[in-house]
Amino acid sequence: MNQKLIEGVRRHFTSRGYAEVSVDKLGNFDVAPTIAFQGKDGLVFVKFIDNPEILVNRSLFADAFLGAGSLRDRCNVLYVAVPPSRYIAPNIDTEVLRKYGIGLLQVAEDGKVVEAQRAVPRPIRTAPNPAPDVDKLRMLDAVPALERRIAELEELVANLRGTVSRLQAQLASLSGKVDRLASTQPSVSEVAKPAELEAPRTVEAPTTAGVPSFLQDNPWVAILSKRGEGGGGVAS
Amino acid sequence: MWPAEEVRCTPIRKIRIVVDSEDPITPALPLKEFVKLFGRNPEPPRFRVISVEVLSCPEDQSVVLVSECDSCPRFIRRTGDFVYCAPKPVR
Repeated sequence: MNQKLIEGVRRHFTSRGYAEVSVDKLGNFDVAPTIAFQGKDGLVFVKFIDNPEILVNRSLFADAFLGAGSLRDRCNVLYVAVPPSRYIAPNIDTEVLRKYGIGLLQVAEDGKVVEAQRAVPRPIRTAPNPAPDVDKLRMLDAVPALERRIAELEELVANLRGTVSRLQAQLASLSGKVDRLASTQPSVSEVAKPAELEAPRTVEAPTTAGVPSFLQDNPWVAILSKRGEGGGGVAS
Repeated sequence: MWPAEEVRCTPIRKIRIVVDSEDPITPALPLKEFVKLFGRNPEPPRFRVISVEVLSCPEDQSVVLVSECDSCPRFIRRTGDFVYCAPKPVR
C-alpha cells in the first residue's frame, strides 16, 4: 500500500477533527480496515481497494467489495478508497454504495482526497464475533437429558413424600395403640414371677458298680448298712 | 466539504457488439444489428459479444471509454449510467 495515499486519507480525516484509532485494538476482523478514525460521526473505517486485477477477475472484484461490505456493521461510517490510474473508480457504481451507506474516496497520487460519495453514518449493529464457547455449547447439548433426569427425580420425590406420609400415619396409629395398651395392663414389674419349681430330690441308689455279684440286689446290704445308726442291730 | 459548484452529468452509452474472433476483417456489429442481419444469435467460439461503455466527454465532446475518465482530474464519480465530473479539476 502506498504510504502517500494512506497519509492523504489520514490528513483528510484529522483535519476534520477525527483521531486515528489503531486497527489492531479494534478486535479481530475477517477483512481488516486499512485505517480507522474516531470522531463526531463515531467510528470511521476506510478500506483501500487498489488492486487493478479486480477489473479483470470477478472473484477478486467480489472479494474486494464483499470484504469491505463486511465492515459495514462494525463501524458507524465506512469508506472505500480507490487510488487513481487504476481504472477502478469509473467502474464502481456509487448508486450501489449509497444503497448500503458506504462512501467513496478518491485519493490522488499526491495524497489529495476527493469525497466522491459521502458515507451515511449508521449505528454499529453487531459486536465483534466472540469465539464460540465449546464448554457452554456442550453444556447446552446436555440440557434436555438433564431436564428429563430432573423430571424423573421430581416424580420419585413426590412418591417418597406420599410413602413417608403414610408411614407417619401408621406410626401415629401404632403409638396410640401402644399407649392405650400400656394404660390398661399392669406393668411388667408388677407381674409376679412364677414360682420356681424345686427339682424333686432323687434318692440315689447305692452304687453297685464294681460290687461282687453276691452283694448285688442283696437285701442284707441295706440292713447291714444301717447297723449302728439306730442302735438296733443284728446279734453277731 | 463538497465544493458548491456546478457538476456535469454525462450519460453512459452501453454498446453490446459482436466480434468475429476468426476473421478480423469482419466489422464489429451491434448485437441487435447482427441478429437482424443474420437472423440468429452469435454463437461462440467464433463470435464473441462484448459490452462497451462509452460517453461523450463534456470537455472536448470526444467519445471516450468510461474507464478513461479515471485519468481525468475532473472526474468525480460514476452513479448508475451517469458520470459526474466538475468543470475544474478536483484532484
